Amino acid sequence: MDPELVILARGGDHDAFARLVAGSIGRLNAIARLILRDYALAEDAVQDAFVDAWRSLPGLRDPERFQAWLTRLLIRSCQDTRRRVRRRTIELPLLPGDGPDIADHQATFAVVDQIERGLQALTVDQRTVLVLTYYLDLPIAEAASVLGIPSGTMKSRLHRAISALRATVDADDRPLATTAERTT
Amino acid sequence: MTAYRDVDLFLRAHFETTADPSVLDGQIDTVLTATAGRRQQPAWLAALRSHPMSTTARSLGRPLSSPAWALLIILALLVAITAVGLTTGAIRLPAAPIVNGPILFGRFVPAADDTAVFAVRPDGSGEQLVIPAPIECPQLSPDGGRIAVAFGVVNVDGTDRLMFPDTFQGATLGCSTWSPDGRRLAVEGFNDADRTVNGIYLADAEDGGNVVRLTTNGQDGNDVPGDWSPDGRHVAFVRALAGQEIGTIWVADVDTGAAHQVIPNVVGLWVGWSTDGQWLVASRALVPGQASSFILVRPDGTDLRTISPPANHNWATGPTFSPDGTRLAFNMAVGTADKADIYTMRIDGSDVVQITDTPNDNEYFVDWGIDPR
Repeated sequence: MDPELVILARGGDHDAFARLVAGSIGRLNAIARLILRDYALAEDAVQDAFVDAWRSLPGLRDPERFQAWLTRLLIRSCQDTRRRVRRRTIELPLLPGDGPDIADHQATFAVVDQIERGLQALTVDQRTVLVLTYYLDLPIAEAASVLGIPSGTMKSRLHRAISALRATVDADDRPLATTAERTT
Repeated sequence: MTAYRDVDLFLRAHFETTADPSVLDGQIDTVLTATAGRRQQPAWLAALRSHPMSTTARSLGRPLSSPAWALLIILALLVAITAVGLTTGAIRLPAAPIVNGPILFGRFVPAADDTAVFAVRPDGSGEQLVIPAPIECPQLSPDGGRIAVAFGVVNVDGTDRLMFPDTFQGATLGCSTWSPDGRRLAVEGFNDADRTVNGIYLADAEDGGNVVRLTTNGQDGNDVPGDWSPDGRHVAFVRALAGQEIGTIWVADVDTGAAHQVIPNVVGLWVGWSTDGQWLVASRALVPGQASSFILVRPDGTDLRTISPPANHNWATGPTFSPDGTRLAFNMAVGTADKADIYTMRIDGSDVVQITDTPNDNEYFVDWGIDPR
């Protein structure tokens, strides 16, 4: 992301902000959809994150950190969105087909299906730590910074999320292929 | 999925193949429309909000001497007793739909020989200069967007500073406080050459117009406005004794001007009103050589409680409620210091958080805003 654009947007240049939006909205959509697992909610969360970003940009000191900062706003927005939905007790619609529609070249359909249902059973907070770690590939310390929590707490949350996912998958009737089985 | 590394591999592959970065038709336009209609926050507020506004306690910044520890233990016991009393009494913490935002305070700037306004997160981090000196008695508007000063208003980013006509029927208009809807100000009026005009006046926050008199001191002292009641129907104020920086707590009816003394106890020149409307808070009058305390009392004068700030303080004044009603912010000089720092504590006197740690600077005019999400 061009730091000059960030500097211009920070100074109130909305056209520069529009270019930042165009350059980052796809990435934010992907993250929000993985965490919230609902396209409409994800769209709301992304929009809220951009509105928050526009209002808060004057406080961003390091333009080079724009993407990480924007990710943090999105994560917070996802959590706020989920809380709002919970308070209103709206029944969450599932994703169309409730599973991937892209062929997975590394896992069998059964594996994908099991992981999908396992992720579905997790909380938003649990999915968030998994997305930060395994989709964004953030180191523990940086993921912790995004969530505003100590590294130790991040580690324990990650451990609990994996344990919860494993428990859900293990409880499934269908056996799940191991890496060794899939590569032989 | 029998091994940890398998989870790692499965999830990376799964996220990679299922992540959908597609952009919906019109999504960018919707975002740009939503943002174009909103103002950017001033840098100081945006910087404070880049981290959560937590109230995680920091330890007191200065080491306490041995006698101080003894005093602290005694005070802790008193606080514990007070806390038990509060717990078993009628104090009820309000529900907290409102999120605590930045704490504003004034700091004396020797070079300017006047006050500058600063803001800080409730955990004491992220201090920012809001408005440079000179400025007097800053008060945040209910929406957190403006600051009332003597006598006028200014945006929190320092722009659009409007100074209102500061005289009305012989009274000089000075420090003011906001009505809950942000439309009116209760402002102190005074004239040392004609004390009959001393009292509280109401004025429009937009332009300082539509001035009406609310109270008459009648004792050659000053009526100093405190917080409004949450329903906007009453203003709490301190009716000061002539020539003194102390007085008693009164409440005035905004519609009729009728005022009544809440309690006869003498207090400092500020009274705060809790956001649930149930409590008034003020500092006990300062007695040289004696520790001050805070009092909580119902607006009808019943249920008087005392809170002792839990440190060997020289003085502690200006208590004001947090927006969620669970804490008090105040200024306190510890030990023999003659300059105060800003602190917060729970309304039962526990969980003291030192907000500023500037032994060479004096801080006062504490106000606690909402988090304007």
